[in-house]
Amino acid sequence: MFIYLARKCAGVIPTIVGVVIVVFILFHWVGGDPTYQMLGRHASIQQIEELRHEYGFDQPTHIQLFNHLKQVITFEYGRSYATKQPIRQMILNGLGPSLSLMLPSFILNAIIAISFGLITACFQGYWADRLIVSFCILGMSVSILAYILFGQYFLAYKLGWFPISGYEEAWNERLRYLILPISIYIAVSVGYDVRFYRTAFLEEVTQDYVRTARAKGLSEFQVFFKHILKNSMIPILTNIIMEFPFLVLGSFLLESFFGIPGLGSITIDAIHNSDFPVIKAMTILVAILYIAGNLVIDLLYAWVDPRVSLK
Amino acid sequence: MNQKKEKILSNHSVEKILEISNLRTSFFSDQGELKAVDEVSFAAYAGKTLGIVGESGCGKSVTSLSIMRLIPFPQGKIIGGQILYRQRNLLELKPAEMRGIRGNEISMIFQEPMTSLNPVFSVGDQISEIIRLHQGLSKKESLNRSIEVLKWVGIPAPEKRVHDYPHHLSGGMRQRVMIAMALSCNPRVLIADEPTTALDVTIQAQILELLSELKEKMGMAVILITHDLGVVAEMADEVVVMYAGRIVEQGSVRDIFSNPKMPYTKGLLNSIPTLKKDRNGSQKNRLVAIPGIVPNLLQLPIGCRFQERCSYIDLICCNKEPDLRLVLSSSEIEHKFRCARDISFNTEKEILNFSQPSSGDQSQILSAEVLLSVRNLSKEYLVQGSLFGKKEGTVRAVSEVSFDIRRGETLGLVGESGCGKSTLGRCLLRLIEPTSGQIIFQGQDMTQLNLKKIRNFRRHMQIIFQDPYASLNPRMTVEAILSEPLDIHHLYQSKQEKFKKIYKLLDLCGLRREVLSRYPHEFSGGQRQRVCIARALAVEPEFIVCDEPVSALDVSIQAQIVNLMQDLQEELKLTYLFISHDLKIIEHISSRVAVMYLGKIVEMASVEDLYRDSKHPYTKALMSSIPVSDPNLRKQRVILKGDLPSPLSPPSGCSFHPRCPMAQKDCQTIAPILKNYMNNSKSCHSFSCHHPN
Repeated sequence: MFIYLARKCAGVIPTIVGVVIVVFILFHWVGGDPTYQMLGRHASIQQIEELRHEYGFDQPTHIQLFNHLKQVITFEYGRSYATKQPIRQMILNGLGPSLSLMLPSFILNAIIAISFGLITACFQGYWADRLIVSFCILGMSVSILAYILFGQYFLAYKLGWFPISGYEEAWNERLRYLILPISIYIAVSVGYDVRFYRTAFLEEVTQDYVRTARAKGLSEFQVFFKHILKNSMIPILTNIIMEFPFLVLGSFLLESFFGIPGLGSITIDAIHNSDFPVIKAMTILVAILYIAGNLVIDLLYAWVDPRVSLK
Repeated sequence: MNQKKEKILSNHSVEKILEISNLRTSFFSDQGELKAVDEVSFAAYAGKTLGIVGESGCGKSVTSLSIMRLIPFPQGKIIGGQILYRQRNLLELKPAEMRGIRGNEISMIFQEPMTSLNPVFSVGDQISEIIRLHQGLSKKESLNRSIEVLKWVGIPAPEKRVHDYPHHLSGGMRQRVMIAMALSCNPRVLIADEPTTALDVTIQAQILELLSELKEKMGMAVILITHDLGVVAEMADEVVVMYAGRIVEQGSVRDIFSNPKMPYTKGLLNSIPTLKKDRNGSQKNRLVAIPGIVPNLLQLPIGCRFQERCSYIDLICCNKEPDLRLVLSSSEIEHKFRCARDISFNTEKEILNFSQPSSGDQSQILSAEVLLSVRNLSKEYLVQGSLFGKKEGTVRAVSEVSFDIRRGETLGLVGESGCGKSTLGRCLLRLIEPTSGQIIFQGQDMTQLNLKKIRNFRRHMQIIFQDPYASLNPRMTVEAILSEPLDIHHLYQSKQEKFKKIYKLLDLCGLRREVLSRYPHEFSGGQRQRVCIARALAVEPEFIVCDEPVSALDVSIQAQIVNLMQDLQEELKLTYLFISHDLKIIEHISSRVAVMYLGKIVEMASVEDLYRDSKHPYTKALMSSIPVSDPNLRKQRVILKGDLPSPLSPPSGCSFHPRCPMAQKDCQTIAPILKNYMNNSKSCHSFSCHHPN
């Protein structure tokens, strides 16, 4: 098991190196020189030279690459062009709000989607299945912007059930602000997920081992929650883990519409301001989270599926 | 064994455990009601085996699922009848009560041991689950009991195996686990739905032996569902023949096999090839196929359901469906059949009428010219770990194989799954690149040709695959399928000529011209295989590799296709390499036979020599493990122990020695080579064994 883990981790290293180099090329050669944008059209050559020196753009490429690698390893990306804050601090500050929005959304969504998926698969063709699937399609077809408008205008502004937007650190306040965006997140994604899990379960329902389980005299509950669920874990886990980076990153749209100062809104702001170091830090962060997610999937596969060889 | 059976038969006090009367199960769809099981009645007795036979789609499996009340709901429904299990009607039980019967009193084993076990739970988990459920034992007790049950079914080292997952086990072992699971709660009735269809003959013999042993020991009633009349003849006491949802004949196994009354039963019996020594050396006869296929149950004809395929059809058959009629039987088991006409079938005479000397005497058309010559052909696969993993080793799928095929002959290639026979067949066409060796076809060494030249050569060599469902492109019409080879090799000048060729192909393969615009899914299995054959013939090849061409088909359809292939051989002067695991078909079609084991040819001889006087112990074991479709000939089998060894680490010396009943010390160290052995018939007979006989 340990060797398997070590080998999987070692296998990830080339991917990370590749990502780091691609990001370097994008930002240093393709992205152009950001000093012109920062100083405006009327900057003097001396000003530009000073700034280029300050950020190290005048150094040879290999030194810049070395600095880039150092940044990735230490996770120390310097200061933001726009806010002049240390980027590491900005990211750490944004992490809390993002997680408080995404973690509950994520867990509630998974629980609801998996249970409804099992229900629909169990009652395939009956009215319960048809009703739930129709609602799923309805939920998926409406744009997230419509949900946001509806929520903010009717539920928050007209009815006053929730604050329209904003964020507080205190826990009870934080909850009050987050209920609406969390509900919208679930409304948008649960339909897709229910249908995905339903398909995954239905694929298993027709398998021969299910017939064997029934022939043993097991109840439908045992057949579904023991035999089918464990076999469907592979597509379920894949689906869940692929959403994992967004757990940390937050939701770009929800955070900017609801004024939640999470990583999502930080990224959006950085893009608006051409704040390259922040964008670079976020790009690397997302890439590493994705790679980590894939690594976790591999390990979980080995856990749920004995056919995955640990050699 | 026969005597024992006689004793049971004469014992009148056998307990009737299960009685099914007028069972009707239907499936409902937009197209209407499909009566999958229609007014079926039979009974199962303790310590006896009831065989249910019929082609696929005749309602055998639906009957068994109905007994378990496992018909998929809401599409399917049991709409009438009674299933009495020890005086209780199972159809009136509440779902919870029925669950107490399933797996506990009535158990079931299924056809596919590969997929019928849950892949993510260990063997022990799956067996102890059923024990805990019905006997309320603790986790530890039930695990101990699982080990005990695994010991019963002959699994070596059960204490270790109990923690294995299904993918660690071979097919035969998995079927043993399925049997262990089904028997763990001492059921009174065991339903075995095609329990050996997916297994090799030597493994099939092991499993059948185990089933009859356990039946004797536990005194349960066995309902054996199969399409293989050989298996029924060996195992069953009473037989039910089903056709299109109905019972068409029912009686003791002797009555059914010696005095079949219904034309369908007779057709089934005639369509299986029998080994020559089992039919007292009479001449090789043509297989008697039942024409056509099972009718669509949604559009049944008025009158007898078998009328369209029956050669005894009369006016009376089309008026009214006949009832089951009683006929004098040879034992106390009633013999009933469903046929309006009263023809006394004299089986022997019928066969003689049908038998024509097939393609004359085989040896006469054999020319001395060698068409294809294979020398020391090997195919190795490298087994590699992951990117950073180490090389694990090589698998020799085909190892130093040499043989000749003469123009116009059929060389049969027989062996269990995994012995490398399909790999060999594909290597000949270089669909798989051989690692070393020579393939000399018409004087050219095929292994030296580049890919472009090979493509031209493929005009002369074609292949027919096992699975007609998977080997036709589902998005192409028959016209496109048949035109493609003609286009590739530019075999026509004008469109007219092309269609002339296509029509000729259809005629040759017994297909109507209307089929040209249809897609493969609109055909039955037999028709699809005809399309595959027509496709292979399109380029007018001289040599065809037939890779298990009839294994996926029902017996009656098998006979149609085998006959077709023999006719084509005669008409077009074709040469076949016929790969199969079915020794009866091989004997029927081949002039010479090669037996393969673990990548090597272990014996090769003319068909007469091989079947009359086999030398290699493996060939002998194969021969004796074939179920014979004559209940009077139940025989003592040579049952091979264990499974085919892993080709990754083949045994030292003779690769057959771990399973060989004759193995001596030198077999473990010295690998025997294929030696010629001249017998009095002057044909070449070679085998590789240190201790023949």
